Amino acid sequence: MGGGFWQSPEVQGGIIPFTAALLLCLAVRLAGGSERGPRLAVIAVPLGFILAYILLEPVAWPAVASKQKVIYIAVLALVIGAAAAVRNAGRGMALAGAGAFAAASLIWLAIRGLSAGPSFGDLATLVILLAVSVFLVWRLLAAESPVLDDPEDMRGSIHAPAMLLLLSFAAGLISLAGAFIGMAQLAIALGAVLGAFLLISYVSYFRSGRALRFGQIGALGAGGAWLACLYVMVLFAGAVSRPALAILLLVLIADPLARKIRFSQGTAARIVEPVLYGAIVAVPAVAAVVYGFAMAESSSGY
Amino acid sequence: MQRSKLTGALIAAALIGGGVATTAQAADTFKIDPAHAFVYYKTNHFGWSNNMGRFNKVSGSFTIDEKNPANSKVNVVVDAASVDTNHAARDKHLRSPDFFNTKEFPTITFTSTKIEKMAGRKGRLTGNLTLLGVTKPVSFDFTWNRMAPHFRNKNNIHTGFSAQVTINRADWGMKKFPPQAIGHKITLFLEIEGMRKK
Repeated sequence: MGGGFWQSPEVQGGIIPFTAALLLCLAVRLAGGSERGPRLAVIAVPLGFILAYILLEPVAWPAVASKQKVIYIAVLALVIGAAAAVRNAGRGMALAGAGAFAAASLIWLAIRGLSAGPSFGDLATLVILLAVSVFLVWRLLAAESPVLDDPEDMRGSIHAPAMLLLLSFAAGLISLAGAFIGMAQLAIALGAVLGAFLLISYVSYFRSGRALRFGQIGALGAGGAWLACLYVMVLFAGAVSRPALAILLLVLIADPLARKIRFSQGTAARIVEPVLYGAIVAVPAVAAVVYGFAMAESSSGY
Repeated sequence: MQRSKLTGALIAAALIGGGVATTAQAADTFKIDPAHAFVYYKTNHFGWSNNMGRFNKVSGSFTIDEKNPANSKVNVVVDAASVDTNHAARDKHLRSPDFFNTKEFPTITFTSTKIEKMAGRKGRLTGNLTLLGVTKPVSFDFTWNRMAPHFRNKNNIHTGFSAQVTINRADWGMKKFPPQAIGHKITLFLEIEGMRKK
């Protein structure tokens, strides 16, 4: 789309955020040492998303349109996630934080429609999105719960970011099918920064059996960034397939099933288990994308 | 404040619309005739050609006070979702939050604040253009066309305007895609007709 290599969306929404997240993740991991490093490195994900937003979209204040509010919602998610991590919040507190985040974000996004008198359908949509938000954070935290039970078993720390990576790429493709290119770029950028985090986490897990923690910063901070994208797609992009997005949520159901695949400890297990896990959890994501494109109007380029 | 060149007139049709303004005693209020309201736009496409589009649903009214033109007013509403470029996929994209964001901002409106009469039947209309929730002042130069009864029904008085204006879509927050790809300069062409009862 003109503007040279560094201005291309593939670079601004993919290569740069991926590289930045990779470097930041490594830097935090090394600077934090063996105790704090693995817990804090995940902050590279929400920060990488915020960087991607700054590269891809004009940052506006006051934020009038919904897309302009996404970055501020992502910052709020990061703040809530960081606060939960600092206070070592339990599952209940984290979910309460997710609910509060979702409510505040949705009200801000939908304020224009709410002021004009929302329909029952509008209100139902907001309630469903709030429920999805709490469900997402719950599943992301639950995917890591084996780690909490057995700190020596770090396999669970790969599952949550892997789920969110699939959710991000799939949501981006579904948004692309719905002709909402801006949000497609942001969602795919989130997938790119998650990929950077997963790459380092997987290498660490493969080498030492210890992956990086996803934790509250990941579930709330990175999960919140994904939710911000989802909110705008559902509320304001009429051509983005809602049924496809609903199918996509089955990734969160596939996770506990995929986690049942366990091999004995060892090098082979460390290689095979994450790959098998990803393949199973990817099934609903692929189905959602296929459905989204199948429902989209066919078009030649314009 | 944006000043744009015009080659015609009609404030109302072009972008926005809405409501009927109160007028002075000698003023006449015309309701925009949707069947004779044409709002087109043109913008550059990679330098290869110009993309053309139109809005199919335009409504509103304008009030003309010939004795005291400063009392004249214009209100126009355009249904943003009625954008039509004769290409279904492109129209879908134009309605998305990347461009007109029609689900969040269903209308584009213009409300005049000042009208100045120039030479002949030309004038300058200043008002507030609200697009994507952002309101900015815009000034049009316009030409007021003939006013006369309809040849079939003398009780219906018709008049119209022609206008052309160039704006920068980025000023209203529509910044998706660089100007080298999809031009930020948008030229609007308006041909509007209104009617009132005698």
